[in-house]
Amino acid sequence: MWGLLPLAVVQVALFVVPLAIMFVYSFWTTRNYQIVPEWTLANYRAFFESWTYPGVLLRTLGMSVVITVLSLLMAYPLAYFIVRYTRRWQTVLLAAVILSFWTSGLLRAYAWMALLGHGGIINKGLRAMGLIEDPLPFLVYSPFAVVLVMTYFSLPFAVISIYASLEKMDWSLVGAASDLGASPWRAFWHVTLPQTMPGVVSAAVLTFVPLVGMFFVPLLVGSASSVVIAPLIANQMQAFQLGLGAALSFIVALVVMIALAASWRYLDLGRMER
Amino acid sequence: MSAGPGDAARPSAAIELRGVSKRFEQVVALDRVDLSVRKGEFFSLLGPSGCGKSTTLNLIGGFETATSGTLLIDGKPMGDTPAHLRPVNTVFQSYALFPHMSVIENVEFGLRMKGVPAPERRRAAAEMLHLVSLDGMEDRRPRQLSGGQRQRVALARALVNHPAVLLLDEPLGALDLKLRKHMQTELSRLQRKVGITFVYVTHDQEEALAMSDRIAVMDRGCVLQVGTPTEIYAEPADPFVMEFIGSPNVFRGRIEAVAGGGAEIAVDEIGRVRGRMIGDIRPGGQATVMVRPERVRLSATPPPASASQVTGRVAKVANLGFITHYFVRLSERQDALAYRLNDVDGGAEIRFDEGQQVHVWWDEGDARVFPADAGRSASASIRTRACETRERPG
Ligand SMILES: Nc1ncnc2c1ncn2[C@@H]1O[C@H](COP(=O)(O)OP(=O)(O)O)[C@@H](O)[C@H]1O
Ligand SMILES: [Mg+2]
Repeated sequence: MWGLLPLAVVQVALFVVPLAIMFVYSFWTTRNYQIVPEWTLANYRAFFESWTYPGVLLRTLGMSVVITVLSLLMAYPLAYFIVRYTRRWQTVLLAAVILSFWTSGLLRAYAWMALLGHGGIINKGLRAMGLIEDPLPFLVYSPFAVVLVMTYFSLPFAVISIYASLEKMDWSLVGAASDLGASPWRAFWHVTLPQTMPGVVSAAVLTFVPLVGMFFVPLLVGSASSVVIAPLIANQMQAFQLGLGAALSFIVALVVMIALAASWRYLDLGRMER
Repeated sequence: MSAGPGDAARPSAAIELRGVSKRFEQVVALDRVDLSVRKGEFFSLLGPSGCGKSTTLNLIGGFETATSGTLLIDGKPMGDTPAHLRPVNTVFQSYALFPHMSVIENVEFGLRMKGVPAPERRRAAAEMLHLVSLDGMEDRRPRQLSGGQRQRVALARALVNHPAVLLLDEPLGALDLKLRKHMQTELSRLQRKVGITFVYVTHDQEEALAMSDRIAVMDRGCVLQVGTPTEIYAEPADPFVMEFIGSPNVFRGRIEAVAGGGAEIAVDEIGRVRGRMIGDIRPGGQATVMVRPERVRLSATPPPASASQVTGRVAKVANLGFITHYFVRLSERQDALAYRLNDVDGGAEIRFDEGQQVHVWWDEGDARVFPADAGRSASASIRTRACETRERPG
């Protein structure tokens, strides 16, 4: 128990303290580009006053959910394949997945621009084949591009997390299920999936939480209809609207914490089940 | 139970293996195995670790595919029928209970897969739990149960489907000795009650003898002998079978004389011993004589002339309570082992002390003489003789 003390200290220093400062600021007044300790609800009122901020937040959450679901749907089969059907290549494939963590995200985002951009490889290729005249409009500077690139960014987290639980899986349970009359699909549905659910949930959390704060990818490949909350907060801060910025940040933090709390019970239970 | 032991009617076989072989790359796990398990019987596969028992079970269950040969369940050839479509169920050594399901959900799983409606399958599962004395445990998780309880859940989960055959792979292996003995009795009782054919895998000869209607003794992918426990113990057809079941005294030597079903063998540094001939015995050849310790007699005075006898010095007396083990040194290299039961009659017998000179003897009919291949080392020849035609790895 006491061994967790250093971890707790780090948690307080890096997470709780900034959050507390943010919380206090969100109830203070901004005057002459300065935050002053005068208590007010104006910042929160500003959030709910127009549809702008809630709309952006909802869109951010919606896109995050879509990207999370897409990542899980792609990561599960991939992790399953790595665990069950590869032997010698297992480490190589995993290394390939992990390697993408080590390359700058910004660099990889620009690489995608080179693929998707109006003068990018795809458009050029299609034009050379005579299939299109003008660049495909949805390929870049669109919500599609944001979802595509962010799914690509999220995939490694999801694969690693699902791989970890599939790797621990007791496959004799699947044998037992088929012995009891379950077809391969039903054995998967009734045994493999429930057994690896903790991995799926942690994959969802690991994907979803960073997505809510996605920043530069929407700026690079997104459009006006894919504006997300993080750049908006940055704008407020840069415009010295610290109070409003803090309120927005706190609302986002609250949403993330609710999502974590919802999955926490499942993650914990899953661990006890083993 | 349509056919009891001794009924020769072939069509009633619950399981039949005809010339079944299984190869794993270089390893021949099963070598042209023929087996016929009768309906309703408690049939055991007995043999040392690695002899192919689990492989046999996995082939029947549909978890492995035979390299060659035919497998029939209930008279129907199984071919490539996948595991989930076979009329057999398995109790795995690790139990393989579903950790995310309650006890009752585990037990009703098979019925659920068959599409039995919820109330009905729940009732059947509860009944089966009652049969294995697990009333009140329905809502527990497997991890909240003891080893013995988990074992019974695994049993209930398989039996509730009323399979044509229940396959059990060393189901008591993970239990402690006392619980194991208890579960042996329980399993026999349950098998009689439900009347389902059991194919039971074990490496424990005592367990097989205590529970089975018939036993198949296996070694290195071959079935050496099939018979009732009494036949297997009293009439071993193969030296490996005799050595594996019980711990017989083994003498190797040259065949001196053959007469009336008996043979006399000269053993270096020990003398001449006699026994009943099994198989092709000719004077001049090498042979192995085996005699069980409970058949070996000890006396201070010479035995009747007709008996097979050697002399030695009592090297060690181990009193194990109900039984005493006498180790008699016959030569530099060989001890004889004799058991004496410490029962009510035991007092009438003469006791011996360590260091005492004794006559060691037995009736000719109590020892068995098996031919041994002179070319190879005796122990290797014993193990491969019944399996001559198989290819050995390495
Ligand atoms: N999947 C496998 N791959 C390679 N060899 C195997 C496999 N399963 C079993 N064997 C080999 O086949 C032989 C018989 O194994 P098994 O049937 O498990 O023996 P038992 O259950 O009697 O201990 C052993 O030599 C074992 O090493
Ligand atoms: Mg085995």
